[in-house]
Amino acid sequence: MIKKNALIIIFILIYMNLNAKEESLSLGLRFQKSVGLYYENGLTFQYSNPDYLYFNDLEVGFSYFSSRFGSAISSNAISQDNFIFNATYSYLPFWYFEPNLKVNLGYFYADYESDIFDVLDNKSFLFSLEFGTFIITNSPLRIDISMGYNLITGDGMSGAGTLYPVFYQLGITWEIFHEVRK
Amino acid sequence: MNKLNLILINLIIVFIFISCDDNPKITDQMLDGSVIMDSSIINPENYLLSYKYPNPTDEQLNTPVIITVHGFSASTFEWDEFKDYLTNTQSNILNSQVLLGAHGRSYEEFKSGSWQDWQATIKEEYERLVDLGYKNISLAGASTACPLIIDLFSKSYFQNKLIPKNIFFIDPIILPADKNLSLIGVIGPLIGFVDTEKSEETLKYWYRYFPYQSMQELNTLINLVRGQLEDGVTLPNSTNMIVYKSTQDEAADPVSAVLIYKGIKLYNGKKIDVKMINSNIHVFTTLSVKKNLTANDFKNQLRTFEGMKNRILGVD
Repeated sequence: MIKKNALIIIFILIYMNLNAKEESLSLGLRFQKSVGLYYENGLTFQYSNPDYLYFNDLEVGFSYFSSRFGSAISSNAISQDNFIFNATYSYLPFWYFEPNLKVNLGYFYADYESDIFDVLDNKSFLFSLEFGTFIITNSPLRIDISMGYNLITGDGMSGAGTLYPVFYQLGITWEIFHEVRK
Repeated sequence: MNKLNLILINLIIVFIFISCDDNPKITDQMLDGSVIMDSSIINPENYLLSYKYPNPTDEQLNTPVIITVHGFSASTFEWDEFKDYLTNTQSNILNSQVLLGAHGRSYEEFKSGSWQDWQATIKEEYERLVDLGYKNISLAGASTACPLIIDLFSKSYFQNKLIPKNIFFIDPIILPADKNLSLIGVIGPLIGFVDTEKSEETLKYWYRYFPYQSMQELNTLINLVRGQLEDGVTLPNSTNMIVYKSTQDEAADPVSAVLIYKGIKLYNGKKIDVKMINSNIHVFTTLSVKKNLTANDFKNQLRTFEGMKNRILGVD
């Protein structure tokens, strides 16, 4: 598994693009759906600064999203929270698209509500990869759509049972500032 | 060649390496074949109460009845040990073992059966027993039988019928342990079927090969029932429920018990009972052909059977 993960990361690094030189901060909403399970929605912010980040077109960010703001609203779905830090590499933009790859690391917590279930894992580290694209709007509005794969999931014997492998997400953010470097 | 094209070529190479297998290699020693079939098909009177006593006496009609239902790919065998327990303890309980539709026959029948076909035989036996006049009927399900039974409650199947007294769930599946089941619609046509590589002793009682069509049916069923639980299911007045769930389970994720606990309420709004069992066996009450068993496994089985018996007899 480690070898497989290393190959995926090398793949990302080979294809990443290093062209842009911009500083920006975006804030917005993240809407996520796991294939076969919940809608989980929340907040996201993304930041890029070529002075402090090694790669010119690297963007870092943090997101919090939860079924509390999705499937668990007015339903018996399990309330679960995701906290992720992400690094995003963008490719050369073409037409209205700017393809990107994300590596997410974070923490997951599910609330089983009763001590009957204290014997079950309800916490987990998160490690996922996403491939998608920004949609260029020529405005501070930025739309980000991607498909992702969770490399850590529950398997019945251990791990959080409501962590599913494949998800897709929509991010809608607003650039609070955006400075192009000369 | 630009970078996007290179990515596409990489992806195509990956897909080429995912080969489509041929038909499964089924032998006459397997339940999947056309020679061996579930005994209840040949001798239904040994399994189904409605066939055993087509003209029940008043005493029989007033005796508590438990209908036991097995899980996905299994057969009536899954509840044989409970039947033996009731016989050996001389319990005053009548037993009826239902074979799910499309099960216990052949790979081809399994492949062509829908989850509604699986469920139909539960309804048929329940209705036969109600029509015969039985007054105290309980239901016990293992694994996939549990979402099939939940679906009956969700759709008010028991309205204007005799209401079941007790519901027992053993290792119910609402979320699968293998999360890739959620992708079966995409990967199913590529793989065709899954070989579960069972031991020789189990080949007569469980299908070894799972066609992707059957796994799609399972996925459809558990997604449907998960939605029903999210919306909430209320049991009819006087129906009680208990869930027994292994803490580790390589088929049905233990968190399935959480979803049932949150999703089903008794008629008076109270919670149902759940017991988490210290076991790593899926359907921990079926032990006879399993290997590497411990004293704890037998203790779990006995305690659960005792608990079920006492509830059926109303002494719990």
